[in-house]
Amino acid sequence: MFWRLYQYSLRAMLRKKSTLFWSLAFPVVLGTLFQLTFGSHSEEFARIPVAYAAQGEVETSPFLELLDAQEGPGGLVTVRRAGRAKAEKLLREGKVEGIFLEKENGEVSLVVDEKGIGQSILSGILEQYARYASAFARIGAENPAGVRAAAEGLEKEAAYLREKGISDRPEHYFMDYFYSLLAMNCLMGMTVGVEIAANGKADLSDLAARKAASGAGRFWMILADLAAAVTGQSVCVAVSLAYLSGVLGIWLGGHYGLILLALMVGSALAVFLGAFIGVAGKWKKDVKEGICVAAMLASCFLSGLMAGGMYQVVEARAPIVNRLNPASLLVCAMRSLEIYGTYGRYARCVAALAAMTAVFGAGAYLCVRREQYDHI
Amino acid sequence: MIIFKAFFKILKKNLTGIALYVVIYLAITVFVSVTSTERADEVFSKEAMDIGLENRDQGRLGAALAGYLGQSNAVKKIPESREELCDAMYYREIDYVLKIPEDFTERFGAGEREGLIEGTDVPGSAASFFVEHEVDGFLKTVGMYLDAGIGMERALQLAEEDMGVRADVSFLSRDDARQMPVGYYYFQYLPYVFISIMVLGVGAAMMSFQDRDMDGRNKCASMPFFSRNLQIFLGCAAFTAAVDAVFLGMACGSCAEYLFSAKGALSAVNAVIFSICALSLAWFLSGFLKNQETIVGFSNLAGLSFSFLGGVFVPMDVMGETARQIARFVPSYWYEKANGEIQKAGGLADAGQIWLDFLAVAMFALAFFSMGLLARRMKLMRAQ
Repeated sequence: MFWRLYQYSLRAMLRKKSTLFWSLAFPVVLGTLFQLTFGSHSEEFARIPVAYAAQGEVETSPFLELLDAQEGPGGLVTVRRAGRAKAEKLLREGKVEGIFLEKENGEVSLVVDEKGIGQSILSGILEQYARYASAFARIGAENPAGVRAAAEGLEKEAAYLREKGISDRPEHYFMDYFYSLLAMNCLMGMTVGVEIAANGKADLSDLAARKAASGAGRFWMILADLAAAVTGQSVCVAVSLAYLSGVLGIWLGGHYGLILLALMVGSALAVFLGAFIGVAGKWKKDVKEGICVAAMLASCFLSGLMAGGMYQVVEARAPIVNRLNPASLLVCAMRSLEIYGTYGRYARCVAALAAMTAVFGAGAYLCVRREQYDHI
Repeated sequence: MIIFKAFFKILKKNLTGIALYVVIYLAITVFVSVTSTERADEVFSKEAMDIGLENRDQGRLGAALAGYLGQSNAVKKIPESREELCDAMYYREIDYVLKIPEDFTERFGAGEREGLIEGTDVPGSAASFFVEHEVDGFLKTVGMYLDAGIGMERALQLAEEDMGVRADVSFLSRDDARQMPVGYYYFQYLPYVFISIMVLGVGAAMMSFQDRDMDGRNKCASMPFFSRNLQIFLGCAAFTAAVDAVFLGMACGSCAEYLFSAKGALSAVNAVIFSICALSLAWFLSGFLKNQETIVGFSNLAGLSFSFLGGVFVPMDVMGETARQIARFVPSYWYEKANGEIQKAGGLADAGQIWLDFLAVAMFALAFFSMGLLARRMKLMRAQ
């Protein structure tokens, strides 16, 4: 009986093209846009364009030599020599990030139009120049014989830092957008859950009234519908995952089997939560669908779909929300696979999702158990 | 005005969804105001890095280096567990981790220079360049003194004095030193909420009027065609005006000083023009709506797509060149461009480019409206 009902439910789901379309269109369209937006983003260092303007006739100077050296291999800047007015025009147009102004007496200053990493590095170059000059002056005063040795020491290249990465791959919180998108894809199953509940409540739909009159047990009918919905939603989410990783080439941490497992549990939670909302209370189906959409949007907002870094803000101020919010749990599960290299946090998140699924499933069952209708 | 009244009765049904977007919008603006607490400086100061530092050095050099880094950066304790460290670096709460070994002073004093300190960075992050530059600068200066034959204690004393030398950095104009006003952030996120609300509200109403039976019933009623369409138009206009009034009213509450300045007036005009554009978009999309599910789908898809592509949620400079080129074909890009340029304008007299941005958004409104007309015409022709 169960398998037959399950088959019919699956067939009925496949015929609802609108539901399938949105379940697939959402991640495909938004995933492509996210990739377009963040795909070419890189924090890798690019040379900083800077203008050099001298007051009076300055052909060469120690600072200009320093800038020449910084333009060479491994340097930090690209320098454009210009008059002051032209340099200011370049700065206003955003073609350079700063202007080094050298006076006739050799004093150098920096002009910028905003505060940022590039401007800080330019300021650092100028500051370093001034500090080395100061150091040479002090060495000259304290131990003139040591000036030559100090100059030789300065010219020697030394890598003081022994660097390693926190992981092998560039990581950034932009990935949370993709994780939240997959979470949203799972949570779209809530409206399917409401639909199933409506089709099981004889006072909400004609189909349910017909079903109530049939000889099949209500528990098995609803269970078959829910199982079919979870299957359908899981397939949609698997297609989305395949599109993001296979077609768009987004690195989601490599543990695709475990990611899919988390997404399947997330889909099950969404369907069962939707079913619980569908059977609880006496509101109309439209109102219940509205509640599901509101819950989905709020959940995804808190996990960072609309504002990157939201997960961490919530974690700092109300961590309990992240422990209960389905989208946040899904994001945390997927992200933990990518960055920790351990499975503890992933297991906790998936277990929490599974526990909530069981709670809502039991709640939904208790609501419809032994429900009888005097008249419809 | 029976159609006009019916328009608002349908809207009332979707009030919960619309209110939810207002709540999300308020949450985003609160979130941004919480995270954008950077102090506005009149004088240039270097970008501070968040450095996780562990100094095990028994000598003076490690402490001196830590003290120097702490002058212009936020030095933090390294989280104990690897998961916490990963979290902190993932969310850029810590940009770089430095571990100074126990025998650092001893080895540096002995002339050793290579790989003395262990540094951990996020691969691909620009922060490591900055920290390297700071560490190199300090240690090279100390090294110069040591190479010149000056003892470690004196070398550190002199190097610390040298590190006190500051670069002469100034802003091109005084306005550059200022932080973006609260009003800038308030208006930044409006495109998302306007598009979502318009599609949800106007879409639902239009879908009902476009229903085949309802449309047929209305057509055979005694009400003239012009009057019916005029009432629908008035309904859309009144709804747009109400949305504008609500959001400008909330702006009065959160950034009244900004709103009643020349910049605030330009921002308000920008928002009103964009709301008309969002209305046109909603009208265009309403031609494709079939049920409540498609309304919610279109409202989310349009709101999020236009916002991400137009630089509403993510700054344009973070986006790649291709994305920036494509972004020019969405109205939210021109809205955000105007929002940025408004902050640089001294007053209405400097608003030359801003008017062009307004015009671009208005042209998008016209384009969406024309596309809506075309879509309906084609639908009608197919039906005939």
